[in-house]
Amino acid sequence: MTTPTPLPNPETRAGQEEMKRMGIVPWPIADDLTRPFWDAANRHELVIQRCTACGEFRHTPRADCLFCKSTDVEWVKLSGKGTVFTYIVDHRNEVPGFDGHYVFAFINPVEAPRTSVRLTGNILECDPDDVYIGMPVEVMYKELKPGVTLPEFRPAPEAKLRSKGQTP
Amino acid sequence: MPVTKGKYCFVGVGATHPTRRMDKTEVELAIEACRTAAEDAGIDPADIDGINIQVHHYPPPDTAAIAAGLGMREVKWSRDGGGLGIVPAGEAAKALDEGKATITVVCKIMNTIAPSATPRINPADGGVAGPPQFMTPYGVGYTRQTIGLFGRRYMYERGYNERQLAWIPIVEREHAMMNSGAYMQTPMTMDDYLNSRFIADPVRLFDCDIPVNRAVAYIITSEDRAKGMKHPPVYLMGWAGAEGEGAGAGVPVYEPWDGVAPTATTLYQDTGIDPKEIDLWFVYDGYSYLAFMWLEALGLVGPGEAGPYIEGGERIRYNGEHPMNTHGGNLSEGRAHGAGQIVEAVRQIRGEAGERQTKDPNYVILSSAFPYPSGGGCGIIGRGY
Repeated sequence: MTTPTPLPNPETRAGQEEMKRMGIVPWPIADDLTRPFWDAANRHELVIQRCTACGEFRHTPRADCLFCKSTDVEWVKLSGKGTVFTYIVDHRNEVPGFDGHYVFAFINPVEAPRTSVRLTGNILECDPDDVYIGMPVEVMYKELKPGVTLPEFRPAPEAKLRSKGQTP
Repeated sequence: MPVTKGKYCFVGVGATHPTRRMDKTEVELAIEACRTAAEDAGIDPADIDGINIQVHHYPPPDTAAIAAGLGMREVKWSRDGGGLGIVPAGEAAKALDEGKATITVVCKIMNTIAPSATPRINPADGGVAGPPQFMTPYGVGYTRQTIGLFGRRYMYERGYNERQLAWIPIVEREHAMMNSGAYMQTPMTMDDYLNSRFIADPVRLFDCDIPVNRAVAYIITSEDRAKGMKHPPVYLMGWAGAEGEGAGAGVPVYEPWDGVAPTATTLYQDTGIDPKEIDLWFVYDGYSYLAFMWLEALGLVGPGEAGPYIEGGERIRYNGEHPMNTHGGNLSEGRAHGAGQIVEAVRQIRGEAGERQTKDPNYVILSSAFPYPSGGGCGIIGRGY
């Protein structure tokens, strides 16, 4: 019998480093509020909430409407096209499961206004230096493990890429 | 909050010297800072009967050990944790107002063990629950990353550039070099800033506060008691704000470039002080981007004016129009989640800031955390009404 190794403490830097060494990859735990989003992702579809009282979209999911407080909601399928609202290029690589310079962005879907909707994702298949605010992107899907798929984004064909000599 | 408007005063301040190596325990640091503050107030620490100990994110404080170490005869009011910067000062004043204590010490202990709020990942299997489920599986779980997201959009919205932003860390470094209690003591040039490495592009290393081990303490009591103490009273003119640290956890929907923050509007209404009357601008600078955003969020400058205002650094230097964080700020004095700004505000109002003393300041505005309703705080420290 061996004593089980204690789990890393995620509240410390050492614990985060240990999780990284262990090969832990963070994945989303769907809950009652968010399950329709993740279930759709597994089907390679992008859906977000829309208030059926006032018609406003919202994301990330919440129980009530940001505008009219109504809890009446429907899930609406999006085209997966959008633009980069803002982004970072991470250089620290402290989050377990991540290495190299990676891009995280808030995306405005073409169907929805910016203030209430923040699609989140990495910008993949793209040189980080090519990303810009307003860049057209399209959704793609990355299966993390069976039953867990992340919507991600990549440059749309009309994106202007500096690496190809184009000017954004 | 109107209930405490101008009725409570800072009577003593103290801080330990910031270090990068944890050579004393948190309890030892806190006792040293609180004793220094009591000595500054000219009181026996045994007479303190209220205590609010705040720690960094981890581990929790040992308030009882600190109270015992101070020799407090009676602990009538005790509280662990609370908001950042001026908010715990306001909460302490509220406790005094409710008769829960008569003299209260507030102490913030910082350490380099828990350098920041860390991603909430289940260490057994990597699962991420709640709002971070839309961030952390994409590699985002640190405040600096969220700051980078809003910082980039803010600069884009306003047409500002990094050569303007740079003046906040550069001038604060100059201030730190006039403050023997500051950790950073080497000059920073524009080239140094622009060559500092990216952490979460656009956020550079020199946009981030410097993590240190230190404790920072201040003592608050009623105006009546304060008047009999060693120094002329320095007033908490008013404060407004919320608990919590805000932008780290989920996906915020606020737009920090949307104008004056609701907390600031409340502050000006409650105090009757106009932003134009404020001399010193101690905006929260856990990240230089936050200090930049707070200038407009406090209505100190209009939308689009912050970049041109700080460019060149003259206006925000200790001898300029509106000196910013004359002690060096969280960026260069050392991370204290805004507690260092309170100590410096008191010293400036008293006229004890030595080489970096500003000219006859009446009012210092302080802000903390993030300039949006659920996460920010602000307050004014001054000579009184």
